[in-house]
Amino acid sequence: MSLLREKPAINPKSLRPLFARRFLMALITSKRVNKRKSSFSARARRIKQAADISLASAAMACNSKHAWSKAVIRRSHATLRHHRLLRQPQAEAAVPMKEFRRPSRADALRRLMPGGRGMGFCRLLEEAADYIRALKAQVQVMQCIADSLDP
Amino acid sequence: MGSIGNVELLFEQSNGIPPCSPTRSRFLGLLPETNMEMATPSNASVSCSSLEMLQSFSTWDSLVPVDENAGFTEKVTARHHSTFNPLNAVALEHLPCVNVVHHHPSSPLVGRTPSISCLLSGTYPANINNFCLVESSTTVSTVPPADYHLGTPNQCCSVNPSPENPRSRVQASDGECEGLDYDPADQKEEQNVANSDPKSLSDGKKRMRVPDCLVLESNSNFNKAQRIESDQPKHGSKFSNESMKMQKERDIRDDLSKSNARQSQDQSQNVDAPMEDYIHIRARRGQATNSHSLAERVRREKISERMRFLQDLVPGCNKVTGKAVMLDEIINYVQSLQRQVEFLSMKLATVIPHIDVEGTLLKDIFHSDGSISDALGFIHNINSTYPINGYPLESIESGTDVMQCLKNCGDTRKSSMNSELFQMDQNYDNRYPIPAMMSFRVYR
Repeated sequence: MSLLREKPAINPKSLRPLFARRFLMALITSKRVNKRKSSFSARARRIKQAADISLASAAMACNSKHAWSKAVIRRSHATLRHHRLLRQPQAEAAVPMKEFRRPSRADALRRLMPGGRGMGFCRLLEEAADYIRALKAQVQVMQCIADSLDP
Repeated sequence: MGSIGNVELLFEQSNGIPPCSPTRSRFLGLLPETNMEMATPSNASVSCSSLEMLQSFSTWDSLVPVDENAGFTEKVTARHHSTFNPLNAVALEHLPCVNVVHHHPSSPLVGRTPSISCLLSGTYPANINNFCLVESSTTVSTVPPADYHLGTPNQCCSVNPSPENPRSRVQASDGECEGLDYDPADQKEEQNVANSDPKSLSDGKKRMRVPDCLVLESNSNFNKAQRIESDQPKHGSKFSNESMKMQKERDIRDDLSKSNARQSQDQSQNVDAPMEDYIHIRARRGQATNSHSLAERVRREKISERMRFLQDLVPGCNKVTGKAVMLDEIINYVQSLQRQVEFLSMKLATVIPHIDVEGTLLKDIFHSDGSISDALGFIHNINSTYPINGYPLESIESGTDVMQCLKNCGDTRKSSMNSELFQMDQNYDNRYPIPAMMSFRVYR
């Protein structure tokens, strides 16, 4: 649309194939370990985890200056090592009263986005744009796979 | 949003380049060069003022001698209805703005130019520029091609593209009308005007929409810079140095006011050297040139630019105006996308049985991210680990094989081959086949 936008509309290494490849590799190589006792929900959760991680790694390969991908990977690393780093409630604890800092829309967006806690508004918008793009690619790829496997 | 949005569209259609901030400095740097070609030594006020108009905010130094009283008394009420002679129209619209700019080349320029630029910058609010440029869009075609470059950055500068602040833009236009009611006497003053007026103007025009281009006055930079430096060394020096640099760039290319250029150039070179990598911004006329407000304006511009970008991403946000509503839309969209991913992963879980993503696997992916070659090594590692049951290592050239694997895993399902996904994968990366068969084979 605009020639003057700073962020390129099309990344030189397009995100979708990268993510598709990684996600499929994750799915495929996950067959290595086969615990038949895994429940459906556990399976679903793991698929989602694989999708998120492969998306984050693809995004990082694509355009590494965004922080959300690193945050996702960091988070998954932590959970993989069974350090259950739950969301720190420190921010909320620091604010004693609700009136003090009404949860603004920017805070809601920060909660949604990975790694969005320490970001200023400007940076938050930038990360949100990239994150939305990546999420769209992820949804499209997964939809494609799901359709092909089960029309 | 209506009228101003239409004007925006007009700009986009006419010039094809919507206003945007990133290349501001580039355009601003570009403009002065073309300025030279356009400047007529005769200094006809019309041509000069129109030239200035076209150049928008970059060449405040272009000390165009403007007839002091020509057309000043006419308020710009008729600006939209001026004759369609584009230059004249532009000039007419321009002149009242330039009202104060009584500029004699012989006069001490340092004192004059601040007032000129002060006033000139203030007279380029959104709507005036919109309308002027609408009329002058035809001039772009008639005028030599260099003018096009002038036109576009002007457009960049003048059009306020923030769809989320239509109200403020409208107010800016109202403020613009107010701007013409300046006391001419005030603006004929010399140096102090430059310094004091922006502040008073900014106070009176707080609700003016911050335009995309911030333009610092040309020669007043020094005065202001020095003052700013003294007051706020931390912030001010940065901006003053930026302004110095901008001024130096402009001065170098300004033929209309050689003496001024020389004068300012000498001064600017002193401070210019270390400040090469700052973002050059200029304060518009009528806006506070305080370094804090400049920084704020830059920040606001960045935010509005990002909001525009997000508007493109989030579907159905074209009509949305205002940051708050836009943020709500973004939040909803992100939530819906995340829910979609979750739902799709559940769907995939039903289709792909016995899938289990382990920590080791994910670590492999971590290590392999960032480069396809690593991924290939990863694949080979996997291959080496497992026995190959009738499938050669490199046999998989297309993603359809992968789908076959997945299909086989879901034994009972006879799904049709949908290779759309893999088309894009293939196109992108045919050199790295996915030797997936072996691992599947092992665990049928």
